[in-house]
Amino acid sequence: MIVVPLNLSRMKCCKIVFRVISIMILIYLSTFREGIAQHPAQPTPLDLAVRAIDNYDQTDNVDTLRWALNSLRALAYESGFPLDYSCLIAEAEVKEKVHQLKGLKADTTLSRQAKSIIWDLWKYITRMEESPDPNISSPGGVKFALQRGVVTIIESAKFLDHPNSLAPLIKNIINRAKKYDFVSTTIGSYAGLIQLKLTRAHDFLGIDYPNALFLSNIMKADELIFAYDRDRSTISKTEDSLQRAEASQFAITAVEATKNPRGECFAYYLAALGKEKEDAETTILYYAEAVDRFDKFEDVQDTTTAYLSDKFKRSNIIFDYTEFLYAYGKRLEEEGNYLRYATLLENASKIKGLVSLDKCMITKKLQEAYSELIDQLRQQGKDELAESYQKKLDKIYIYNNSNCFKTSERR
Amino acid sequence: MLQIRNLLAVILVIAIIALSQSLALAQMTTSEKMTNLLGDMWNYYDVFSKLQNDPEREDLAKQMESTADKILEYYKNSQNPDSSQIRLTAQAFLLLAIAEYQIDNPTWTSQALQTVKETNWGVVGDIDPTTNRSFKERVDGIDTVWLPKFKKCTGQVYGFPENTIWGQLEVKIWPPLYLDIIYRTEENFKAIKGAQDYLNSEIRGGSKEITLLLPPGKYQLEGGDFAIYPAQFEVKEGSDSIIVCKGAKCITTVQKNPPPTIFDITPDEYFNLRVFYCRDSIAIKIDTVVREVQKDTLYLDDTSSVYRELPKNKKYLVAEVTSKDSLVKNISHNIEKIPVEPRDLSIWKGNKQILNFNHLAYGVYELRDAKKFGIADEYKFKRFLPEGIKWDMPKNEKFKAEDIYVRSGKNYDYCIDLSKPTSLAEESHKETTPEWCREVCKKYRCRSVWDSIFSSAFMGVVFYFYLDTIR
Repeated sequence: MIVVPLNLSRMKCCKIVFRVISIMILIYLSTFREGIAQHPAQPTPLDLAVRAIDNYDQTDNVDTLRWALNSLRALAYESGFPLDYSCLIAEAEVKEKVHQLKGLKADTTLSRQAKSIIWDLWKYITRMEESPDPNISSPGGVKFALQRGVVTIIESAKFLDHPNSLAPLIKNIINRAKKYDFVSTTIGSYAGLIQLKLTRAHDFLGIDYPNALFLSNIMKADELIFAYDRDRSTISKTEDSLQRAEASQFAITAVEATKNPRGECFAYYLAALGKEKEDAETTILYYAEAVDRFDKFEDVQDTTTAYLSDKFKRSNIIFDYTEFLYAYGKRLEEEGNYLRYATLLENASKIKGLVSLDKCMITKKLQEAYSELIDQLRQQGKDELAESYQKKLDKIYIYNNSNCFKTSERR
Repeated sequence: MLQIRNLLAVILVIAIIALSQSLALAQMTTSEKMTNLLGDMWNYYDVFSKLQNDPEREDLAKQMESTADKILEYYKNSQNPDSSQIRLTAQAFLLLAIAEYQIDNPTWTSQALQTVKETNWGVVGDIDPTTNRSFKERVDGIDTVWLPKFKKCTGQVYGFPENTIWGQLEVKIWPPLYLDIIYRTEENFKAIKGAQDYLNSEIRGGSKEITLLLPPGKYQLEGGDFAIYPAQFEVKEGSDSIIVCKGAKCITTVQKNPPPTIFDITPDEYFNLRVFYCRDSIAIKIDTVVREVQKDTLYLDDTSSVYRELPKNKKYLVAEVTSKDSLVKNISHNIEKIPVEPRDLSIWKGNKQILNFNHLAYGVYELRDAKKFGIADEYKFKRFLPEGIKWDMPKNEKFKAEDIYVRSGKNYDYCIDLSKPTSLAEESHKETTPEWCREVCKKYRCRSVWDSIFSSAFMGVVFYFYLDTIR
């Protein structure tokens, strides 16, 4: 008698629990569906316009930019030309003018117009800074405008006539942009990318101030070589080679724009990295120039800028140079071009401050190359020439073996 | 009661303290902003002294101008500027004056020095860190030797619209004696260019009184889309010239010209402008009030009544009246609207009307049914109208009916017929008929009905043979 009601009550309990669970599942499902309905991620017309401008940066398709410009103008007209819209319009206008300038060698009028829009942009940003809430980073915020504005100005400068007059403006905006909190921006996002660009722009600007032409070109080369926004291994081979070729061009323009040995060194290094897969001999020339320039300012090396001292340190350049020499030398060896290989290695062995292990390896390779060359010459009956190389080889044995021995002994 | 009074007194005291604190805070923030801007000025000045390229220096000077103006704005807006604010303003304009002197811009140099004198002339005793010399050494020479080489002329600006688009407004100053040796020096050219830039920036900024410094001589003003009066002026020794810039809503007080006439053209109405009793050649510029693309200029001959048709749905005003003869007065009263009957445009194929456009006026037309139309006048200037694309009716040309035909492909299929010619007095349009249209068609070898029958029969035969071969 006692058990039955207990059983019944258990059954009831089970039923109740089952009902409760089913209701909870239903509620969960309904909320899930509501959730989907509530967050459709519907972009606003302003977002679309901003995306279109960003799309132009990646694809260079001017139609999207013009579409963005027209829609921004329409939106701004509807809402009475607020400052944030004016900033975006100015940004798009600068990009549009610069796009036109890319196709022309020198157009003073267009360049003047672009500069005038840049100054307008700067004025809008200044006015926005006086707005009550300057810390918002969504479209409409001064931080957003500063971030985008400075990158636009730097990237446009290289296409304008006499861009150096923009240098104080760039410095000014970078300094003002630094006031805002960039740490919270996630790496990999657009804001993170811009933060990266800003810090690097700050470092490069310090090398040769007020040379905005150099800054603009080296920034572009740096961006293309080190592919800020994505991993270089994910880029296709064609895109990679195109980017490297473009980077090399910008880097060489940067070399021409500056007289500062530090700036020249970094630009030559980037140019060498760009040329690596295209033209080996030019690459070696660029590497040699980079190392040569580095020696001129080695004593006064500036370590204040973290990025430059980390990325463009001498050991990095030497490492890349040596690595490239080995790879190229291997190819020359396979082709049987021992003479060129020997000359290259000989030149490389003279690099000041080369890592001792590398130097010994180079010496070893050099000896091998000379021996092969001498054998070849003797087979061809050119004994006199072979004799002269033999003398060189002996000198290398005497000089470099002792060095290698000493360094290994120290270790 | 006493307690309440005490409470009120305490609240009042707190309110007064809070107000004074907030005012002090506002004062501090203004000073801070001014300090930051002066930092910018030093930055520009530093770069300015490093760069040697003239265009780059001019660009930097422009930046300095706008920054100094901003500082001056803060200075003027602060009700009781303290000594630091006065000093900041003076320093900014001192830097600007030296920079402007280096690019040979006497107008800005003079203005900047004037501001320094008005605020705090004592700053010229400061040492310039870029040269390690005092500013006084440099400024004295500029003030006493260089600036007196140029003569002052003052200008007054009336009624330029506030939000003028920059590209639309550019006043140019030309020396008419272009070959005179005085204008050939680089310094003078730069001075004129600087004065021109200053004039434009001040007009855009809404200034009413402008002072320019120019080399003595005769000048001419050119206003682009806007009007300037007088067009020529002379800068002399010891006498100030007056330039009166006359914009869209400009009323000159010197010449006492009448205010511009504004009139509306309501929808579905057409008007001609009629100007009469002109003794000399006169140019009237008509601008739309709303900034739009459509603008037109009338050039009227002596004592002639000239008609001009204007687009509808627009509001117009007579923006400019310039004349060689100052006797032309009250010109706006001599302008009247004459209603015009709308004309129809129809397109005929042979003797069959295929398209009809009512109310032909200057405007945008869309030929939807056209394959590829073109209109050619008697000089055989062809205007092709691609399919479905909006077409602006030519504004400055009037086509006579017999000169117009529409072209399709190689053969001239269609004819435009102005069936109801305009009632303009001077335009004598011939009455157009379908017969005329047929004549034109014959003249230009239009496809006849027989042609089309033969061609379709030929295509049918070809298709039959094609089907036959497939089988």
